[in-house]
Amino acid sequence: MDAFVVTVVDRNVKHGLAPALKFGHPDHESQALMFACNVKYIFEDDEESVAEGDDGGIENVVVIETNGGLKVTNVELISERFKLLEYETAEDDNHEVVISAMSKFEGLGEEFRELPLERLVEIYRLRNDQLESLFNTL
Amino acid sequence: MNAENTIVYVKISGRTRDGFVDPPKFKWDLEKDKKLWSKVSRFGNQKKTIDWVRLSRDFETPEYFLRKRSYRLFAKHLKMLEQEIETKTRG
Repeated sequence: MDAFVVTVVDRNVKHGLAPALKFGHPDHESQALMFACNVKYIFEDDEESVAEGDDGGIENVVVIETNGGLKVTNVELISERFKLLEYETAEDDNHEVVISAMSKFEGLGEEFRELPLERLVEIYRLRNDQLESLFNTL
Repeated sequence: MNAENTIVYVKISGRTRDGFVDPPKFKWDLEKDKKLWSKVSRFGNQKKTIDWVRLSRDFETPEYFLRKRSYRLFAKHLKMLEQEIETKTRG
């Protein structure tokens, strides 16, 4: 069984819209991508007691449910700072989970004021879509 | 959201642990990700194979993660390039 790789993308528009490819890598154009590298596995059919670790300092909890074929059936995100928008697994790898999350909407900074109206309309629409996704999770 | 303040539970039904050991918690962030990309994207220039064991030691990160992450970085980069080419050749 392969270990899971879990990444979280903050879709907040404060990170900018679609990143432009410069010389680097699209994943590195903003601070939107985060990595959850503290993963514990619970085998529900085992009668193992879940080791209660020290949860000190834990602010976000992700629960990934899978079936026996290790296909992801549900993902939950418990957090004050982030809300889950959606999740997906990589087409070619069941064990790679990408979570789209939203951090708090913030007032747009100076750089946004310079943007052309078309771009602002785009941001407005995107935020509306995101709001709708959030409402749907209530 | 990082290894210190975030915990992931993978709940698996219909299967037993069967000797599987939870990988250790490790630290990974954009800084490390950028370093990894700058390393792996330059391999091939000198016709060397990637020394995963060494990378794993240098990054203090399990090999499986570095491999998967590198694969994903390459795949995304290629996809982006394909899109660029498509937009530019569409006229």
